[in-house]
Amino acid sequence: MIEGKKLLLAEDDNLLASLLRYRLEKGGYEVSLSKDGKEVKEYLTYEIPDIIVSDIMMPYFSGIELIDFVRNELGSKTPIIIISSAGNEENVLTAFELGANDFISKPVSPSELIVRVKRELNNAKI
Amino acid sequence: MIGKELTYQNILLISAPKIHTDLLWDLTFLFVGLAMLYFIGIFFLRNTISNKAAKVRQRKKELSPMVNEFLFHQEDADTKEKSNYLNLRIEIRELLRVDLNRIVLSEILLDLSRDVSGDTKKRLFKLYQDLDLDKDAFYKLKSWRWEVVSKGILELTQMQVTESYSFIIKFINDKRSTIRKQAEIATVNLKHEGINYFLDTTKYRISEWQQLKLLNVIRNLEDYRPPRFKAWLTSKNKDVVLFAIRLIKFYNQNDASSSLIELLKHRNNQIKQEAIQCIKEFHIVEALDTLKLVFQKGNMDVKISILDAIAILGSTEEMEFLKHVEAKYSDFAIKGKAISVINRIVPESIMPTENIDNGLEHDWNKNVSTTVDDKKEAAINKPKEISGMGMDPIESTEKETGQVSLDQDTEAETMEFHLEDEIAENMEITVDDHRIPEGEELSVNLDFLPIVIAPKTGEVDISPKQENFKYRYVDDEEPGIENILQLGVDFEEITANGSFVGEIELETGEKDTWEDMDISELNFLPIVTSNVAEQDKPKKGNGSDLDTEIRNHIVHYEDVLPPKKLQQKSEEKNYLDTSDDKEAPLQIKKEQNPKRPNSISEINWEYIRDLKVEHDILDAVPRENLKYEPQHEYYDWPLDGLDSLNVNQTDDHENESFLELEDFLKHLPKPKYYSNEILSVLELLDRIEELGDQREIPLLNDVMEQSKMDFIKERAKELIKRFSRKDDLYEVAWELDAFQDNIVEYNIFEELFTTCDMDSKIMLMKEMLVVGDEKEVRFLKKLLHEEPEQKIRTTAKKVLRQLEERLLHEKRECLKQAESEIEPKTGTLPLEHAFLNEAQHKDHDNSKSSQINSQKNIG
Repeated sequence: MIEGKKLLLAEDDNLLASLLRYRLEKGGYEVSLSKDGKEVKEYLTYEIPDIIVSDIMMPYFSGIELIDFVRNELGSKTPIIIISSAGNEENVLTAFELGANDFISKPVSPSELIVRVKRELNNAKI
Repeated sequence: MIGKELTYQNILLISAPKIHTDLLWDLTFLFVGLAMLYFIGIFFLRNTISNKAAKVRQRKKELSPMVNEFLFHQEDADTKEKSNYLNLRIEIRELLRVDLNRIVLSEILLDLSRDVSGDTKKRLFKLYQDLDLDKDAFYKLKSWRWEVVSKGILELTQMQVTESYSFIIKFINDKRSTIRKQAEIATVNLKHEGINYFLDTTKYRISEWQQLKLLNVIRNLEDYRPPRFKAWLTSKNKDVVLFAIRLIKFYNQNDASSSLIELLKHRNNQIKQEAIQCIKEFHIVEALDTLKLVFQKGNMDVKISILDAIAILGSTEEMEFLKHVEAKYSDFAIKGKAISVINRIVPESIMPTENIDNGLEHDWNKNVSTTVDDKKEAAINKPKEISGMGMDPIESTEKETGQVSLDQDTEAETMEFHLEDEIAENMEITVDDHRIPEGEELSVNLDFLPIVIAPKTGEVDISPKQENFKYRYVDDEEPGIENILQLGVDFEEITANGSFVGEIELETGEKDTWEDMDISELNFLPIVTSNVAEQDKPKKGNGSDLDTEIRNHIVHYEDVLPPKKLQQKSEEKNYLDTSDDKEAPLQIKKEQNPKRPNSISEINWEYIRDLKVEHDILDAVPRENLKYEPQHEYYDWPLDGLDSLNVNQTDDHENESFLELEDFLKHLPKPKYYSNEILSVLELLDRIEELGDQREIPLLNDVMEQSKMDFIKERAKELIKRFSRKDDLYEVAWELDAFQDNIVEYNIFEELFTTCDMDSKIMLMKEMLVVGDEKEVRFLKKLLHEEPEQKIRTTAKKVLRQLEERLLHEKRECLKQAESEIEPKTGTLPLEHAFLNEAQHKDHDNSKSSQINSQKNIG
């Protein structure tokens, strides 16, 4: 059941964020949008969502730092999916080492993102 | 000022020009005014730009949700969503009348096209064209400003407007390089055959960077099948030839060998080099002669490339050419390359000669022989030289080996002494500048070394117990050194201790017979024997101990095997094979009743499925006599009358409870067995009940007449009654349909038509074509008669025709699908129920005729 699952979308590009948010909400998720690292941190100290979808390159607080924060400081096992532009393999590897669950490269296919989010939530359930 | 020295001198001839003060003021005001104007202008411009940016940002925020709505709208959405969607379309049409909105929307779509992929991207392209934003881009192509044209081309390329291909290809030979380059990329991107057109028509240079970009575009094309690029090797444009060679190399099109060989003769060195690279990669051996032929004319890079190619492709046949090159060319790079190629083809055919000191070789031969005897001699001679230089010889106890480097003045000269190979590796002592002072002992712990014992122990004093060795320069007069090779080596101390050596000897010593082996050493092994084997095993005289040990370690499998009694029973009863599983089989008494099946395979499951349980007998049993009480809900036995039965389930009274159960089972109803005919009739009635309608009434009447069983008659009667009632229902449904026809249908398009302008009406009619049905057909017909606007009437007429065609097509598809679904199902029915097929065919014919009628109505 994905109905009402809380998803934190951290993306600094307004257009893409809006598009992904719309698609995810249509997919039945309750989406919270953060446009930079500060907002993400604030949100996470207040509430931990069921899944996090984050861009690697963000102002103030990168996706890598976000994973580190969630895994080590908050000690949460919330699934994290990283969005990264092509040719950013090094960051992706670091993200995986720090505990990211999945990775999706830009340009993003919203349908693919939905499938990956669903899969990660199922894995987390197991 | 008096008494002070002037630091300047008055120049009388030069004086300030006489300018009227008012003019100066005027000029001042003018410049201040201009500065103010400049600053105001900048301020105004900056404000305008930032305001516009803010407006665009704001507009983007407003429009992006709309775009999202369009992108993810689904055809199968509900009416409300469809209605919203149509409203949104109308709204966006209105918005697009404003230029700023069009620009913003284009920007949004262009930005998103970079960030999204897959299906969403395709929808994005479609939306771009649906909103007629491509027309703006086309309009930009007409601009005289190169940046606008370039932007237009970029937009059309990025949004994959293939219709723009024919407009863009005109810019391939544009004078303005930016437009030209943009057009080249667009041409290659928009259509697969674009690269062919581009290579055919381009007259200008194609820069390396542009070639890379074009290659990148080609690589990312979906389902792209590259043409044979050898066709462009004959182009007059050298950049096209160059690009074609690179593409040939990239796509491994090795069918252009002859052309590539011919290109070696090209005047352009870059083409030559590229062709050589290609030849090298495709390993075209036939090109060797041409390579040798063109060697002379090429520049240095080409020559080196050719030599490189020969190194890969060539054989010993090219040695003559290579030696000629090596001899003829004085250029360091070419000569060196030629030598390296020669050595590659025939390894070490040319040895290094530069800076090789031949004299050293001579000295070496003279003074230091490679033979061991000479080494020894050298070792003896060396101290002479040293001693001649005033150094005191040091008494040496080293007899082992070593690389001893002896220093002479400032020049370090190394001499190697290889006494015995196996010993030589053990130690390496370098005594370069570290001269050992007279009388000082060099203390080195050499315990790890094997101890070498000289045959004459008195001459060389080496004791195994001695821990510190004295190293000194060897004097030739010292006795014993001549016999250094006769030294005996004792490896006694290689082992840790004597006992260990002893153990090794013990272990390596063979044990003749296994009888000598101590059985206790094999305690860790399991000894597995069968009972029979144990009994039949002959006793060996010598191995009695072993037998005793074996007996003590016997593993009895008897406990694991199934009990014999059970095995026998299972064989008697002919049960399922239980040899593999260890569980005891269920004990079921074999019934002697011939009517009952003897095995599972004999059970006719159809009988069981159709068995009917009658409760008459159970009802007759008085409840108070039954002691059974269901303890759990899952005792869902259909016999309601047995609820009060009390079965004692305690372990102590198992037998008693079984007896009670036996009594209880006596009260169970006896099964009724029907003949096959009755069963088939029952099955038929079941199916009629499930699938049939009033058309089955005659058949049911027949069943009623022919059947002798009352319950069949009753059932048929019930069915007839039921189907007769259905007739009434059909009538009601028909009346309802008629009533609904009279009700005015709600049509969202009709409602929207009342509020929107002409453009929107036309757009809505186009939408009708996509989502419309019969309702829209009627509405369009109405429009044809009532609409005052000629344009709308014309569009309505077109849309109506297309919509009718679409609906007709859809219905045909439906019919085909229905036919394909029905046919295989009827084919699978058993023969005895073939009449059902007929019924279904009838039904199908009816539906078909009704659909045709409806089509006629639409027409």
